[in-house]
Formats: sequence, structure tokens, C-alpha cells
Amino acid sequence: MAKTFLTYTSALVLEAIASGYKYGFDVMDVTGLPSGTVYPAMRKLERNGFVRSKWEQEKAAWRNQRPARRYYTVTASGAEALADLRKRFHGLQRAVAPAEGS
Amino acid sequence: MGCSGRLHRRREAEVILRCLQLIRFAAFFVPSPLRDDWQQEWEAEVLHSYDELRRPHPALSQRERERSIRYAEVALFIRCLGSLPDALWLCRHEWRADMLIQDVRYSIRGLIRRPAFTVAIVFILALGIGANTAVFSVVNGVLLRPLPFPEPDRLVMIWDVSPDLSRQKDGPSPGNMIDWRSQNTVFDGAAAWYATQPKTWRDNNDAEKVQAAQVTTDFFSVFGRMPHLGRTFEAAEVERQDRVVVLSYAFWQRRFNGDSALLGRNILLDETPHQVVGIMPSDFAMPNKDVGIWVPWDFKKGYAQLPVVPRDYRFLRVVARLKADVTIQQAQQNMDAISAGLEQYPVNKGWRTRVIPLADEIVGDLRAVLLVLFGAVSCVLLIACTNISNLLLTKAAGRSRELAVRAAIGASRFRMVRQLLTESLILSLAGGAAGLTSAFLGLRVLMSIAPPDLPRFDEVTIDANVLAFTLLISILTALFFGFLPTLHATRGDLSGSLKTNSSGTGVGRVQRRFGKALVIFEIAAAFTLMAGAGLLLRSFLNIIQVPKGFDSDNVLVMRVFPDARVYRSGEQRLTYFGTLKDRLRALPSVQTVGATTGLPMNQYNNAPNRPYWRADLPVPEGGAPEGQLSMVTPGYFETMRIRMLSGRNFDSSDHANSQMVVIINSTLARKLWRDANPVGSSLMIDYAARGKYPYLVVGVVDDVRGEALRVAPEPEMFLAHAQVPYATMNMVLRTERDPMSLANAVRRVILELDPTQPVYSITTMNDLVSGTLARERFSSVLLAVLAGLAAVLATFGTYSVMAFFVSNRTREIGLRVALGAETHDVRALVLRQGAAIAACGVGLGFICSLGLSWPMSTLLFGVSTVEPVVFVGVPILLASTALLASYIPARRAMRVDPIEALRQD
Repeated sequence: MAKTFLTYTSALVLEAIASGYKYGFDVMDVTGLPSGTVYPAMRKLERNGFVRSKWEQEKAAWRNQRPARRYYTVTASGAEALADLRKRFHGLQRAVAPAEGS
Repeated sequence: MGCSGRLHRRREAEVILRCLQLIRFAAFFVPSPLRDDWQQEWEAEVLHSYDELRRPHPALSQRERERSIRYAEVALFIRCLGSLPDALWLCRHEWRADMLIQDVRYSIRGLIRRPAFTVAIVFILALGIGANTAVFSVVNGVLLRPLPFPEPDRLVMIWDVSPDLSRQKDGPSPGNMIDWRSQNTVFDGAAAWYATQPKTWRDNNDAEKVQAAQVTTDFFSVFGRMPHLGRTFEAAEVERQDRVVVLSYAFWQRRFNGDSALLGRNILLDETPHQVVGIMPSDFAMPNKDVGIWVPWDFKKGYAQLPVVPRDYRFLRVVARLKADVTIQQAQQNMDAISAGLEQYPVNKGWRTRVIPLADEIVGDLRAVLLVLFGAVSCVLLIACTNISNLLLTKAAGRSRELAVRAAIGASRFRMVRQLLTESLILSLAGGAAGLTSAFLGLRVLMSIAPPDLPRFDEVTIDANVLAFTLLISILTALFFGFLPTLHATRGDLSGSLKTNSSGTGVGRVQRRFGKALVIFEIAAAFTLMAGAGLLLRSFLNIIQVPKGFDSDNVLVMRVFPDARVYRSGEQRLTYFGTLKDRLRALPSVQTVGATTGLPMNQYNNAPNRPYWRADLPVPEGGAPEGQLSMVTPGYFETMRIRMLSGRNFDSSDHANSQMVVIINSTLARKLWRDANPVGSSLMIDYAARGKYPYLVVGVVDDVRGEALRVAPEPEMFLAHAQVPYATMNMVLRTERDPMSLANAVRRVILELDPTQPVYSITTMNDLVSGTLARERFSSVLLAVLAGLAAVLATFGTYSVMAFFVSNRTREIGLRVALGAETHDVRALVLRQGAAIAACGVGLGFICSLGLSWPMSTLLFGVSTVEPVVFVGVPILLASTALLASYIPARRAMRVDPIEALRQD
């Protein structure tokens, strides 16, 4: 696979998603990055095939009386890229605390 | 909580509302296929966060909790601001492909939903673009593409001109040419050629007459072309008078199958072996594409070393290459100075030179024809566009509701304009593709009706330039016909059209007015084209009605020229032609047989121009005028049915030892003897090598159009072949039935007489005449077709606008009928509208076509540019078709049922 050059920000977002922070706003909370940075980073990751997005079950949304949320998960190639990124950016793993229940 | 709680909740609601507003605004920038998902993602996150921050926190006091909520709200709003960069990022990275595809898909779906409309438009466009592309490929091939020589702009031809003797373009004499070469300072080289008589090529099985050109050694280097194989002539071998030839690619392929072993070998030309030294490339066609052989011309031995260099026999063709930084004007000045010096020789008195770019020389008067055609065809495209614009406009009225709905659900004006332009673009590209197909067909038709001698016509193809041109006009067409309706459809108060129904009058009125303006323009353009075509046709009729001076029906002509070296003496030649005449005469259905050196309407007319004057008067000051000189047999005038005005024909009493006699044409007779009868007088003719002798005028014949029907007759002198026995003759046979049916029999007779002398170019006199008309026929037929196309399109335009008028005013018409209007009032209402449009269009067209005189004047013959037949006939024709086109809608209007019409709301 052709290596895609990722910035530290993107790496951090990928790390956060890998750590179980599935939603855009959760990623913002845990990384402390502004929304105008996180979302474009996630779009780029999705375009590169490192993350995949899905809609949560309608039932859950219905229970909370809000629209279904979109959540992101790391793909196989995303996990591979993350392993590389961890070597490049030391302390990447430590920058994100594991999410509850993951 | 009480009051403050309510306030608080209202503020909370306000925050969430602001956030959602912000997201909705940002969503505008998101490409539409992604938009809904994107918006839902953000809204879900915001609503989720909002739920989170309102979740009770037992550890905090009420006050602390309110504060933290306020902070969280601000943070949430700030976070929502991030939706804007996100949306813009998507806009930048996902926009182009997706949006365009969506627009395209939407447009195609829309066009498929209206198949009749789409097909009509593509068809009209295919006609317009196809005609335009076909004509452009001719313009491209003939005018735009550079000549196949390196730096063709530097090539010029040089001519002798004499205003006093009204000679426009004579080839220079060898003497003058030699002086030009040595004295000029502006040319890198100047070469001369002369199209000699065809040579007989022969091998063991077959024989063929091949066009040959005699060329100076530097001929090929002046043009700057290298041979395809071998080499060109070398100065040394030319001086030694070696028999060497260079062959054309076509002749080499045809006769030797492109065998490269031919180089260095001998071929038999006129029964003499010639060594082939080179083959020229296939696109080298100088002086013309029929030339199969180039033979060297020893200019030095032939002329320069003669005791008296000949200066009055003007027959050369001269091409020169300008030095790199020399302009045409500078070359002309230099040549003016040289020719002023050459006036020291009496025969050069009053003669000047003219330097003309080779490209102009080759294309010649075709430029005017092509430009007029191109103008005409662009006019047709413009009319086609106008028609389509009109159709779209009509459609736009029907679509104003659709557009209003789309605007109401949030489509921006930019978006809709883009959508409509995409639709136009798709239509015109489809039209362009269809047009390209019709251009291929059109080009084939063009080529088939084009005169065969059109210069560079074999170079005409549909190439990359043409394709680029088609693409360009397709896009320009889209802009032109899409722009106005689009502007129109998206202008103004769209919600207005939501309220009214589709037959509402508000939008309709503006569109009607605009549509009318377009149709007026169409009629005017069609008028201009038809007037132009009418003028050309009238001029063509004038030309073919010109009395030719001879009867071309049932005359078979051919060239016969026994080898001058075999038939050396006059007796031999006379015997040959005498026997030939008797044998041809004996063929069934042959009435009379004659022969001449100079056949009218023939590009190989071998009648030189020679000076003449009355023997009883001195040579005129400033040189004698020149007239065409040809040798004829007694049967010639009879066969061609050229009228003998006075005196007698040649007969057996004119022979080598009798008094030299001449027959003159009436132009010459009038010129020298005015009204007196010249028969019995004596005429001096300076016949080059034969010297100046007086000839007894024995007869006067009627004028014959020699070069072409539109060219006025020149003074002509005919000598008796029996007294001046030439070897190169054109035989003419008058037959009882179709002359071409005798061609094979004639060929056999000639070959039986001498098997080594093949016949050359058997054709009929009618074909020769029609060949000289080919250009006129070509341009008038083509312009007539284009004008017809324009008229049809304009009629169609009138119809569609009037149909729209009626359908748009059905309610009003219904109201009128309900209020007591009679059906003929209704019809009059519609027809009045149609008549007004036609009148405006015809008036405008009239003014436009007055401007035709400038571009067309060179193409017309015997027609004033304000020809009454044309300028009365065209308006009547156009106005009546326009009225006819409005009659159908008018009848529909008459059948409007008032109750139905009024209920329509």
C-alpha cells in the first residue's frame, strides 16, 4: 500500500479513534483539538481508507430523541498505518487515554 | 427555579437553535450528495452534547451547575463554528466531480424526459455545426494550413505586367529572367519552370502520356524540398545535357509499384532512355498535382549563351525565395528598379513586374469564395442557435414553476444557472458530435461537387484543427443559446411564478417579446443569405447564357501529338493528320472532323500571344498589341460551328507554297479596321522564330469565349495548319449521337495509325465548358443550399414563436371569444402578430443585404448587387412563408373553446 503522509494531528485523531473514541465530538474532547481540525482530519483518514464510518442503530437514537450519530472505526490498513505512526511519533499512544469500556 | 428557570430554558433553546442554524448555513457549502448525511452527523453530535451537558450532576451545587452549563453552551457553540471549515474542506475536496456528475445526470434525465424537444434541438444543431465544420475543414485545408514547403511565407511568384497592353500576369521572358537573377538583391534563389507537352512513357507492354515540367536546376531547392528517394538535378549533369528525370511519387507508385531499385535505371520517354535520379515526396505538387515527371532545363545553354537573348516570348513561370529578412514590399521595390533598367530593350517598354506570395497565387480567387461560404455557414449556425434559444425560452416558460420550486427548497441562483448551462452544454456537445458525423457526410458531398482543379482540395480532411474548431463552436453555441434563456428563467421574482399557473402572463410576456426579437433576427439573417444566394444564382444564369461563339453539343475532343522528332517534316505531319482525319471521318455517326492547336475552355490551350499590327501602318508606339495565335484545319470552324462573318474558310488552295493567309476574329477586326471589311487586307504577325510576315486576311469569324464564359473574348488569329504544320493538335469531332460513345473507336483508330502515339485526354466539349463553370456552380449551389436551410430554420422559428404566442394567450383568446370576438378576429389577431414579425425581419434583412455588395462583388458576373428580381422575390418568399408558419397556430387559436380556456386557471 502506498504510504500516505499523515500529520501529527491526523495521527492523533487516528490514535483516538483506535482507542475507542468513536464519535467526532468525543475525539475533540480527548485530543483537545478544535472541531475545525478534527473533522477535516477524519474526512482525510476516511478518504485514505484508514477509518470507516457507520451510522449507529436507529433504536439508540430514538431512545434519546435525537438523530442517529455517525461513528468511526479503524480499518485494517488504518491499524497498520497507526503502528508505523507510533514509531514515528513517540508518545502518541500516551497522548490518548483509553476510552471507558474499551 | 421559577422565573429564572424558564428564562434559562429559553436561553438553552436559543443556543441550540443558533448551533443548528450555523450548521445549516455551513451545509450550504457541502456538495449536495453528501449534504444530508453531513448535516445529520453534526446535528446528532450537537444534540447529543446538549443532552450530556444537561445531565444532572449530583456533586455540583445548583449555582456551580448553572455556571458549568453556561460554559458548556459557549464551548458547544464554538465547536459548531468548526462545521464551517469542515464544510469548506469537503467543498474543496469533494465538489467538482460529484457536483458536475449530479448536474449532468439531472440534465440528461430532464432531456430524456422530453425526447421530441431534445431530438429537435440536436438535429438543428447537427445541421448547423455540421455545415460549419465541413466548410471550416475546407477553409482550413485550403487557406489556413501552410503550404507543404519550409518557410512558405518566403516563397513568391514573379510576373511581367503591362498596364498599357492590359496584360495582368505574363510569365517573364528568359532574357528578363536571366537579368532578374543576376541583378536582384532580395532573393535567395529564383527558379523557373515551364509545363511542357506531356511525354510518352512506354515499356514493353503499355504506353502513357505523362504531364512533364521542365525546371531549372535550383527548382527543388527554392521550394526547399528534398526528394523522397535519390537526389534532384546537379548543375554539372544538366550542363552536359544528360538525360535525367525526377519522378513524382504518384507516377512512381502507379507505374513502378514504388520499386526503389528504379533509381539509377533508365526509363523510356518519347522513345529516348532517361535515367531516374530521384523521386519527390507525395505532397510535392508543383506546378500542379498532375505532373509526373520533372526534366532539367539548361537555362544557360538554352538562352543565356545565345547571341541575342530572347526577351519578347513571355512564357516562364518563376518562383523565388525571399531572403530571410526581406519583405514583399522590399522585393517589389527591388524588382521595380530592375525592370525600369530593363526598359532599355524596346520590347520591355511599359512592362513592369509583380511579386505575389505563392500562397495567394495557389489559392487565388478561391479565397473570396471560401470566405463568403464561411460567412454564410456561420450565419446558418447563428440562425440555428437562435432557433434553439427560442425553443429553450419557450420551454423555460413551462419550467418557471419547476425552477421556482427548486429555488424555494433552497437551490441558489448560481446553482440553477449552472444547471441550465450544463443542460445547454450537453445539448450542444451532443449536437457537436452529431454535427461531426454530418460534417463527414457534408464534406463528401462538398468534395463531389467541387471543381476538380480546386487548389489543395486533396489536402482537405477533418483533422485536429477541425475537431478543436467543432468543440469550440459547440461550447460557444451552448453559451450563446443557453445564456439568454437561462438569464431569463432565473431572473426576477420566482415565487411569483409559484403562485400563478404555467400559462401566467407575467413571465410569458417578456419571453414572447424576446422570442420575437430572435425570430426577427432569424428572418433578417435568412433574408441576407437568400439575397446572396439569389445574386450568385442570377450571376450563374447570366454566365451560362453568355453566347459561347460555338456549339458545344455533340463534340468529342482529344489531344493528338505525334512525336515531333519522328514526324519531323511538315509533309509527314500533314500526311499523318490528313490520314487521321479521313479515318475518323469514316467512323459511323461522325459528321465532321477538325483540328486546332488552341482549343477553347481548355487549360492546356496551346495558343501563344503574339504581336500583330496592320501591314499598311507602322508598328504602333510602345509595342504592338498581342493576340492569340492558333493553327487550325479547314474542318475546325465547321465542326465547332463557329460562324464565318465574312470572307472564306481555309481550303485546299492554302498550302505550303501559296500566299500565307490568316482568319481573324471579329474583336481583332473591329480593333484594327473598325467597321471596314478587313478581308483582302494584310496583317503583320510577329511569330517568334518564324519571323515577322504579312498574312492575307481571308476571313473573319465570330468571337469565341476562349478561357471561360465570364472572360471577354480576346483578339484571335488563325493560321492554316497546311501552311504552318504543327505536331500538337486537338482533334474535334462532331457526332450524331453521344460523343463519348465513340471514344473507344476513336482511340483504336489513332493507335492503328501509329501504335507508339497514345491518345491523350478524350473528353467532350460540353465537359470542358462545364469544367470552367465548376467554381461558379460550386459556390452558387452551396450558397443556395445554405440559404434554403436558413429559410427552413427561420420558418420553423416563426412557427414556434407563434405557437408559443397562442398557447400563452389561450386564456386571453378565450376571453375575447367569450366577449363576442368572431373566429376571423382571432385569426387576424395571430396573423397580425406574424405579419409584424415578418415585416420587421424582412426590413432588417433588406438593410443587411445592402451590405453584401462588398464581399460579393468579385464573385458576381453581370449582376448589380441590388438586383431587383432578388430584392423583390426574396422578401415576398420569406414574408409568405412566415405568414404560412403563423397560420397553423392561428387556426389553433380559432378553435379555442372559451369555456375550456377560462376554466384552465
